[in-house]
Amino acid sequence: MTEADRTKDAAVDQELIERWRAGDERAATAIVERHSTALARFALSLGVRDDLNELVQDTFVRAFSALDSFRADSSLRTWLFTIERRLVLDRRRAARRRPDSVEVMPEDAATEFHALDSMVASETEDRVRAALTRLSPMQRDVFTLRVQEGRAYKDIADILGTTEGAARVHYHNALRAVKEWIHD
Amino acid sequence: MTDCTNNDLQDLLPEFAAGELPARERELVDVHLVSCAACREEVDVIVAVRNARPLPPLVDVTAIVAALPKPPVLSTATRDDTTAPVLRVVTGGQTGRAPTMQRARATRSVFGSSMLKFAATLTLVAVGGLSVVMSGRGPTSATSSDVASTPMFSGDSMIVATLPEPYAPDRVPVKAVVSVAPSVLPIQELSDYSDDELALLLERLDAWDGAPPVEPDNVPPATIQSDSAIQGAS
Repeated sequence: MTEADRTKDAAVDQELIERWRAGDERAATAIVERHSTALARFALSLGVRDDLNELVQDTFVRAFSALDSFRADSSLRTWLFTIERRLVLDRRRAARRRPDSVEVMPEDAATEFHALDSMVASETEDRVRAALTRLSPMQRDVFTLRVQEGRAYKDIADILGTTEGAARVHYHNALRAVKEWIHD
Repeated sequence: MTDCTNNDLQDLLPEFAAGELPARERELVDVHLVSCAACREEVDVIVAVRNARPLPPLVDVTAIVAALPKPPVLSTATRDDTTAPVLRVVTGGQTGRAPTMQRARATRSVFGSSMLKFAATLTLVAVGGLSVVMSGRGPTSATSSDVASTPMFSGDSMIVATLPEPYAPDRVPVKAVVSVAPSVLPIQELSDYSDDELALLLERLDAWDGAPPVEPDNVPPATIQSDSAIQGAS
């Protein structure tokens, strides 16, 4: 996504937000339609498999409840990704506190996905997915946000709570590792 | 792959692989790829990773939208105001003419401090009245009919609380309305007060300054009634 596309997207989102604030409930539908698929995909890349719809819904509910605090310093999608990631981290912390629960780490979830989809995926895709599971969580988050979601480094830094420079380093390290593992 | 030193072009590779680059930049990358093996390799990896991207499940947009909070405008409009208690600050004055703080320029310096005191007192009275209502120490002694029949003098104010039945004293949201009561005496702009009236007003303000002499617990409705008492005295 180019800078011009991002600006245009931001303008559309801002207009929809204003319409919703003015009482137009259809604007909410438009916002959800614009971003729900990306949120679901990002959740998958974070290793979420269970209650994915619920997670996306919670993300939107939290975002709309706090829409007054959205200052458009970043894009709406970046903000939504940030909220969703926090929710995922909160859920993992809560699951860790429950003694009778078994914590599902991102790696486990990715392996589960791998197992489910490997029957229909090509060998290269399998190798790529296996390679992604071997990255550190931060490397994988940066890499998938950059490659699969097309987010800019600044957005990635905002979402993951890191710096733009660190995001670049994580991306290039991840790229190098994935390339080696694919070709092994 | 890391041998490429053209960071600007390298930054464009994910968008190039996604087919999202404008024609001009795409052309630049195309030309660069001819001579840069590292970037070609990087594009291959990116394409492979994109192709391995899991398909997200269908998201139930309708369910999500149904769970969203209402827009602020609608949620305000649909609030049930009929059950909300009402707190009114009633100020003596002419019917249909709101009290005003506008004054002649020449008198501003003379009455500046009194106006500030008046505003501060009004706020104190409102907050005090609010705390009385919120603490649930009983309904106020003034009813709407009292308000209508009580003569109001210029500058007089009183708090009138109307509580729904039954009301929960511990949790009473209060709507504050400032209105002008039908008055016996015409309201004046501050600049129109006579010296005597201003002196009387200042006297009352001075009497209200500071903390109350007794704890509020001991004087449940007194805050409301004090105005009537003052009116009677004057």
